Amino acid sequence: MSLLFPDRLLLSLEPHALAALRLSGGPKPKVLARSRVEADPAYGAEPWHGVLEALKREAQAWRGARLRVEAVLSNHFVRYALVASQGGASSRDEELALARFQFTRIHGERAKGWEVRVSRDGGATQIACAVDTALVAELKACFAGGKAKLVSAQPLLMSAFNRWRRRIPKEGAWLALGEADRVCLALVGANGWRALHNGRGQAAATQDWSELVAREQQRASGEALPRLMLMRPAGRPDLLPLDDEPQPVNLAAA
Amino acid sequence: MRRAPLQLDLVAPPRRSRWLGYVVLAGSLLVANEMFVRMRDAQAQIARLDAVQGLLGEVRPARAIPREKLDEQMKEAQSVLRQLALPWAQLVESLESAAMPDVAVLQVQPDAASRILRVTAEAKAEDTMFRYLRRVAAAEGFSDVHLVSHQVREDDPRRPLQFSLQVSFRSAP
Repeated sequence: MSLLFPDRLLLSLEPHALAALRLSGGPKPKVLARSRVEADPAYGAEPWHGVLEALKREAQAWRGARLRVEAVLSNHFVRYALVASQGGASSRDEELALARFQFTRIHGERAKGWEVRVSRDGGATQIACAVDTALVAELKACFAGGKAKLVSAQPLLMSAFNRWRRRIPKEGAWLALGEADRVCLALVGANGWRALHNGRGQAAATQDWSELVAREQQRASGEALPRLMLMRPAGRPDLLPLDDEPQPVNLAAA
Repeated sequence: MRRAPLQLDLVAPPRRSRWLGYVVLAGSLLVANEMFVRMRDAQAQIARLDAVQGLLGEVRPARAIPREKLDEQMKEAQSVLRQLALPWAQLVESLESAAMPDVAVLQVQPDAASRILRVTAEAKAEDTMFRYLRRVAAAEGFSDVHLVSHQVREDDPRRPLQFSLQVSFRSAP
């Protein structure tokens, strides 16, 4: 293992499974190991309790190695909201407060126990996400004090968008992220984020997604809607960012 | 159209603007370039000074200490160390225990390297000399007593017998 470039450990956390991929460090990473552990989605009060228990067990073997750990969180554990950019509220703290207010208005008092992040991309609408504070704390605790260092924990939408964003044309695209019993449909327009739906549901085939898109199209108004959909099928085994190129779907032809 | 990446990471700090990094990098390169120029100037100046010194006078070689002198000084130092390490108290005590009223000790010469003690003394008569030799041989710490020489001093009206003996000594445990 290189002292200059430590190995990377990519984790996929879903309610029913924990997947891990170890890559060598440096400019040309190689797959060193890959593993998958089943988790009980019914364990505990929250959907992430089962996979966190699995991670606590598995992390014992990883803590001693010099690793940069990057975790991708299932959309089951994340809530999203679109926050209109305020002309006067330009500081990060003000945008965070606005996003917290938005989550509290949608989800009630329980939103006060969530960790909130707002992405500042300069568009008219900002995207915010919220995760249970306990989930973030326990995730950090799994690697605290060891040589392995947790350097990133990001929602699936962020992981997918940042890898697919160069494929999004000027007029925008629909992003369809399928998981087991979870659908996340985002509409990226020419001027930024326009709509976002993250909820329970099944979308096994392209036709299922087309119906969801049609429903969102009824709500949308204003500028023309994009016809391209970048899709992540729900049947993918994990959330690891390896060989997960999106499936482009032309909605006009679908 | 280039879209900005999402920054919703729950662990990593938000990415800052790259411009600050570029500014720091540019500043570092300028400073490094300035230091390189100064180092090159300093090296050229040193070379000029060396050349001038070479023209003004011949270079003096470093003064070397002769090896023989070094060896001699080393031997002297070792000899002094051996002399200092001699068990003087034990030697004097053993000689005093062998002392006799009719024998006068004139000279004591210890040889630290071979651990031999040479004693020159005077006795009134021959039998006194032999008794003294036996007493020295019986003294603690002494062994192998040899009578090296003896002669009657004709220049002295009392005609004493001057003799030299050699005895090995050992240190107390």
